[in-house]
Amino acid sequence: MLFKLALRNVKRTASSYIIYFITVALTVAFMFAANNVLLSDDLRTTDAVVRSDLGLIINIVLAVVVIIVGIIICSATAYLLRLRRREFGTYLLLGMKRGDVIKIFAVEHLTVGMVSLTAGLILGVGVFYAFNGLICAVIGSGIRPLSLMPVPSLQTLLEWACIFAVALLYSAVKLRALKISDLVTARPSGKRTPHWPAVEAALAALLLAFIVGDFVYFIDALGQVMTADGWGTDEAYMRFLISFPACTALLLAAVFLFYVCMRGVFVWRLRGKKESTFVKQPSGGERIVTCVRPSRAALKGGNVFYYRQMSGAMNRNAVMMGAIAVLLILSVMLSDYAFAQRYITLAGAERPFDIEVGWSVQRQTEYDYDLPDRALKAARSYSDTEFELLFDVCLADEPLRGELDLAVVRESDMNAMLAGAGEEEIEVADGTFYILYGYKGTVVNPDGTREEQYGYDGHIAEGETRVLYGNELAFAGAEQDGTVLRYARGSGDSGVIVVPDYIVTDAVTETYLDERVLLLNTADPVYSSAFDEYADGGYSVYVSSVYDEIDYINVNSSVLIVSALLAALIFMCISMALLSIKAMSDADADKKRYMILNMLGVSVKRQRLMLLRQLLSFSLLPVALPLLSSVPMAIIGSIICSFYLGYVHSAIIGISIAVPLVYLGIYLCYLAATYFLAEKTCIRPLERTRPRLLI
Amino acid sequence: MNILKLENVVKIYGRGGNATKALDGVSLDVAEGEFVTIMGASGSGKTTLLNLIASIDSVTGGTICVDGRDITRMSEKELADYRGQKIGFVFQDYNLIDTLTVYENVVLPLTLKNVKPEEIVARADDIMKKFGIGELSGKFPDEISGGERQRAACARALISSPALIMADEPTGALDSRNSRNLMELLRMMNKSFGATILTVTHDPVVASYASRVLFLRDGRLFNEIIKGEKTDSGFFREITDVSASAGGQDDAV
Repeated sequence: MLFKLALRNVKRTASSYIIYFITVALTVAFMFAANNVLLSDDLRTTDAVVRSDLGLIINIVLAVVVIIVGIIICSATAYLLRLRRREFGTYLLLGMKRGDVIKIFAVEHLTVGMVSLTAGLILGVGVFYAFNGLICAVIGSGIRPLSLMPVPSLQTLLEWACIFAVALLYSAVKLRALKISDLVTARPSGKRTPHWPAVEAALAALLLAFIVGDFVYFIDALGQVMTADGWGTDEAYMRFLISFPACTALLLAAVFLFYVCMRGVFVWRLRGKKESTFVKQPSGGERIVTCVRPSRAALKGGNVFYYRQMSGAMNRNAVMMGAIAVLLILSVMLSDYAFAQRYITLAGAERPFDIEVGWSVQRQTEYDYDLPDRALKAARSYSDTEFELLFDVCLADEPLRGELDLAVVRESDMNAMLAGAGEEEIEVADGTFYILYGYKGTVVNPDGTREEQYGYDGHIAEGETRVLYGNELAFAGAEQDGTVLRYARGSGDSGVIVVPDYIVTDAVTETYLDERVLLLNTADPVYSSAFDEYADGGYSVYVSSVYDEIDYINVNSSVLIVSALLAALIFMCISMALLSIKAMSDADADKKRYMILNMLGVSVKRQRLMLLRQLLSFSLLPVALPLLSSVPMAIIGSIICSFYLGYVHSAIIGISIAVPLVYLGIYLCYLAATYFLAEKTCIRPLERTRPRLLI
Repeated sequence: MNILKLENVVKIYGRGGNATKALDGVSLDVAEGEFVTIMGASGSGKTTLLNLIASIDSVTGGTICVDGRDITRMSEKELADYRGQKIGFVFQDYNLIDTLTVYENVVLPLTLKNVKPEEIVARADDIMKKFGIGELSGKFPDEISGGERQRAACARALISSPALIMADEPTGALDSRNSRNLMELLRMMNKSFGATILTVTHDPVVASYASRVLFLRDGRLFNEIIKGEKTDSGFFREITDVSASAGGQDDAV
């Protein structure tokens, strides 16, 4: 019997479950898709995820999402319980046991939950393939499309089983604690929160100005440190370091407080002047009574009703709205950041040469001198080469080695490297040598002072001679280089001695060869694994392919992007669900108010417009600031992007538009559903409401 | 001039074997400035009659003319305008909007009609002073007594100067003292403002304040008495006599 009653209740109160159904279905869909993407074996076994802490990050993100969703579902379940408290109170009055009432509620809830879960899982398959497409688009051809896995799918079911169980347990505890009188005769306490509307309105305006100023200040600090000419001054850098956490924390606090203070704005808008009137006393005489009249604006149209509705709604929900706005702004920030960081880190991966392979020769007693040549041929088989250079790096002989300890490279090889890196070539005349040096590090002296060290300390005067491989060579000069030195490895990677080609003979290389280096630019991706067999023979080999790094960045960023989008979408859905549930709760209380309006001659059409205005304002308010925050986020992303890439990547602007648009889409869907339900609840022709109105 | 004219009004609920005739051919007139009460026991059809006149419900047969217009032929929008402009309603349970102050409740009908703010303020001040609720302006309905709420409801009903004020058991939720005060207020509205008032009640005390009482039983008017020069107590006795005789034969008017 209880089961039949519960099912009948579900049919009867289907409309009150719609928002709950939509939210659970959407959230299940997103979580199902995200679990299958983020927990996919294909993704987790990629080198990037294995090497990094991404696995941990993924688990943390998923856990946080589950906890937040769980809290919200508990809250929504408890709300649905409150909505029907009189009904449950009536059951108890008729002699039903509390346990049976809890069972009825549990069956109803689980029925709707199962339907929502099923719908969500079906929808989740579609969302999964959409996420899949996004991953493949971001990562590129380095990963094959992911496939649905049983374990992540089961994990989704398990998570939701836990969420429903906790929500029901929470409701059962609440129901057990309530008295029958509370359930049946529950009325508002009638107490009103004291207000200082003018103060709150002024604070709200100040906080709004502060929020704008916060963004402006941070953008300015960012612009000072990331200038068109490179990194800014140390002072600018310090200012940025301090302002980043400070501005973020202050922004979120200001947003939250703004909504708390907003509750006074509508009352402030409502209030006009204070006026005094004389009132006759029963005992004779008169006394002065002062009261605040509505403002002119409030006396126009249905504004007095609208302002009171909004002030009541803000009063009841200010804290929740503030929390929602903070959550959504964080979501916008995370989404924008996730996309921006991909392009910025990709830019950081750029280098003059796509592939670098270094065979360290000195440590071998015998070496296969042809190995690097075979590796070069093999590379050509993978892809057309746009640049290739195979060169020798030798050690200097004594006494020069003892003095400088720098590697020796032929002039033609060095100039080929410089040209490949887009730098100016150097001219080393016969009988001379040139030094290219780099930064070695900073040393802290015993007295605490810091000293920067370089590969060459400038102790040789121009024209001074040194002997290298039996040749007396005059010093032609030295120059600091930060681009190509790293490729000329050997014992002196903080600098090289560049000599005319004739100095480094075959006999010299036979004795003093330290390393052979292969540099390549390829038309198509060639990964470091392509050189595995040429790294054999016991050599100490160094292989670096920019394509490995790009893949690593793509996998990292796709995980971050999916995580950020998941969090953003779920938080938006949950936020809108909370607002809708609150609006529906208010709609229940608004029934009588709209009936009175109807009796006072407000047409059904006008009532609908009033209701729409009310709902539009109520649900748009907490979403407005997060939507608008996309503009400063876009500016911030553009500054960062310009600094690293030299231009503003279209994706930065694209995501700054796409995220608010998606939010707007979700908002409109929930608004439509809420309006539809609220209109059915509040606005009914008088013929249908007659018995209720006048009894 | 007749503000209200009902001709052969019939209201049937349900169909076929389940049909219930709530009103069976009711005809009556109410002149401008009259104070009329319709009396009857529970189930007599008096609330149904009021609902039809207020356009809350629709007739099955007959016509209802208010201020010269047949409301039974009006569209939903016209009916909304009619309710906003032509009638004022005083409910048994006041039906003040709980989120608005007393002042805001009183001026609400005028704000909805887009009357100029200056005029709204002037009319509100005047009417609230006369109703003795000026000092309650800033209070909410749950902060004032039942009698004060009913006065506020009456002020709201009267502020837009409607052609007809209808009150459905206006003293139903009040104690005897507040009931008397409210009826004195309605009388004042009728005498000082010239308001045409139509009330519905089963209480002879309340009915005795009217200038004419119509008796309804089983959906039909069966008697009518006019106060004339009688005192309230004399009229009260006459009313109770007619009510007592209502248990005998049907004597439809």
